[in-house]
Amino acid sequence: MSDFFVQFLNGVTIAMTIYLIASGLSLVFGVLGVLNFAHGSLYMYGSFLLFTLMRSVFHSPSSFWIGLLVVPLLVAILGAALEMGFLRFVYKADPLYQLLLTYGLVLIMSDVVKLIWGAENQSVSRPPGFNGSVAIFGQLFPSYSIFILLPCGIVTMIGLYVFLNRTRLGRIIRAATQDREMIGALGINVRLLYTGVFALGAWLGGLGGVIAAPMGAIYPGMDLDIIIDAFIVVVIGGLGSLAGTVLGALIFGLLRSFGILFVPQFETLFIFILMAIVLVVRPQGLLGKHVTSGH
Amino acid sequence: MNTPPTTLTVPRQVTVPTRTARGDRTTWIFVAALVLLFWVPEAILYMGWARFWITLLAEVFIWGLFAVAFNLLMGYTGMISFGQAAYLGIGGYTTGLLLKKISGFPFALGLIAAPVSGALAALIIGYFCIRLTHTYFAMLTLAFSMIVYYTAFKWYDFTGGDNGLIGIPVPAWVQDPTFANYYKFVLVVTLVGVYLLWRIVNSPFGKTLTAIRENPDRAGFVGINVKRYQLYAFIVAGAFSALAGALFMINERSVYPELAFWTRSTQVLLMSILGGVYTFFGPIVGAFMLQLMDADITKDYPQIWQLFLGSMLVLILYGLPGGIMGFIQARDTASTDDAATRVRKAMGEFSRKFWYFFAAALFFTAFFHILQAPDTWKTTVLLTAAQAVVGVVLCTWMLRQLNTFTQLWRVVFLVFPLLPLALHIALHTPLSGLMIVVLWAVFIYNYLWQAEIREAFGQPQHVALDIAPEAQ
Repeated sequence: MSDFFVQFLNGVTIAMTIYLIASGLSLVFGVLGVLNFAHGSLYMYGSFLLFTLMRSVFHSPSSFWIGLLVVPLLVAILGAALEMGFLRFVYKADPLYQLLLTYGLVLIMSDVVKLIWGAENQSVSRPPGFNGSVAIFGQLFPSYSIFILLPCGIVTMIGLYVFLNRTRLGRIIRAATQDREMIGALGINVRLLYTGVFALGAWLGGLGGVIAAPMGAIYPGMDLDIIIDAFIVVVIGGLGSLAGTVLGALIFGLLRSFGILFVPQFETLFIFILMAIVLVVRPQGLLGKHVTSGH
Repeated sequence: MNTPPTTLTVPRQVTVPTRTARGDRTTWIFVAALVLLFWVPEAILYMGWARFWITLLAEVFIWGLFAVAFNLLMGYTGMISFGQAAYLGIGGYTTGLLLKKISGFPFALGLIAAPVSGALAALIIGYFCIRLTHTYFAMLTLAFSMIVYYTAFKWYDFTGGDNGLIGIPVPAWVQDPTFANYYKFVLVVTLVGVYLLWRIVNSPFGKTLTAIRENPDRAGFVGINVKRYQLYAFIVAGAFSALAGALFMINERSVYPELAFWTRSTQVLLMSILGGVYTFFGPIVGAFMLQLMDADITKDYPQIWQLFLGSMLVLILYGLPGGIMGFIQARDTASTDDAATRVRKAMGEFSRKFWYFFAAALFFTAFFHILQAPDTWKTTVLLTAAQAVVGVVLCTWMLRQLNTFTQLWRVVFLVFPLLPLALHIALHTPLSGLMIVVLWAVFIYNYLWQAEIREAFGQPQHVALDIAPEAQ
């Protein structure tokens, strides 16, 4: 029983990290119709900006808290700039050309990271007070995952839900996922809305980067590692569906953690097989709406 | 102002010469290419150039075959796959495993087995993939290619896992120290492959695929079984990609899972887009340019290769959606605007996109210069800033003049790219840096050589000004 629980908690931890990244990807796809390859790059920039902030600007581990507030905002600004400088001009093009454009941005941004921060692995320390472990059912868990990662993921989840369902702006965004032309006709500034949504997606990606940074290495190339995982999650859950992203992230995390337990070699393989099965049987994803043409 | 803009006599569509009439001549072009290219290694050795060029060319041929096969899906049938590298892997591992595990297995049979297994795999994978379209199709092909990749990566007992399959026995005659035999072998195999693909796209089958790309619904209405033809295209592309995979294996006599990794799929996508997806030979040109630039940049400045590649991709997606070879082709024939509106739109687009190329050319000139002489970076930055100011003023003025539709300014713009090209050569910008300017030039020709715009410039000026009153 405790073994099961340990793996379950591990899975949920993985799910929370990937959820933070995939939710932004899914949101942007839902509203803008662009599957944003560069989302992983925004995540990477979140991690590297946190690194600079903690190592070079403040020189203290407790500045993590400042980073948690500031860095996602910086990444959101970067995202808004990308939207206004590049993506804005290609919404009418074939969606796959948009995907390719964001891939071009991935290539550019990955080398810019190397030019600014170098090609070495970096790391940041965990905020003071969260270095140790806590025992749950006699098993040690890093307290960072339990007290920061999990709450952050859950708060973001609830926050997004409330924002999208209970606020006027959220309703407009959801309306935009249904019919983009209609909300333009209703007098909504669609251009601004798109920039805003892209910035919000980037903010989520940056937040993911900040939260994930103290748990592992920060390195150029983490963008490509994470983006494929994020693709899997949104495809399983349903492209553009936020509830689906939660479900997709949970399935992804649990499959990873239990997969290691039962089929240690092939756990990644199973995830891709699941992705293929979902696409074949239910292309719109487990909780996605019916596939609309053009995406 | 009240003159109706329709006074312009412009053909509604630019006619593209049909290929069928040239079919037979092309066979001879292939033969001529084979004869000419066959002696390239001797020429290189005679000139005393590095042997590196022989292997580079051989790799270009393999990538070219792969890209043309891929483009049968992307350019001809309109299905953009993100997992074409799966068949590279399948081909490489099929031949590799047969030659390695069964001692004395005939080399030729091993090579033929690659396209066969590629076709089989494509039949199975394609059966599922063709049900989906657009992003979903791309994602499913990606998933399948990752399944192939991870199977090769983890199945240590059979494929050697991430250590790869090494020491594959290859006949002695393909591995000579100068790589000349290897080159010739690859040349013959890829040319035969490309020739077969050429025959396929110019057959009624190929025309059917193009019809499906243009409008799947309409193709269905005239009685084409769209899904079945898409599956056939998928199988053909898979078979030839697998052949390319087997060829990749020969030089190194080993196969690694990386052959099937998804970044290879995006690389072939880049090649096709760079060269032009709506032309048959475009992807080969793209493969050549990409490999050449890769060799040129990574030799001296590996740290900016992806930055450069990404910039090229963005520039092409914005300014040259038809790729480098696609610039003579008709653009946007599906548009419902009248001729005058199209001229106006094209001129507006031209003025806007022009600046992307301007910025990229300036940026990379400066960048390469800083990398070449890091000590004088301050001077370079100042110089670039000065160039930027002068260039912006000059180009703004010129674009303004162009919008008066005076014939002179169109000519000025057609000659204009020579200036930055000369500047780059004077500044010793690497070969790849020059490519940005070449792209710029192709972009300008692409726009200003269009039939509508040519016609607009041919009109008396007051008529032209009526077409684009706000262009000033």
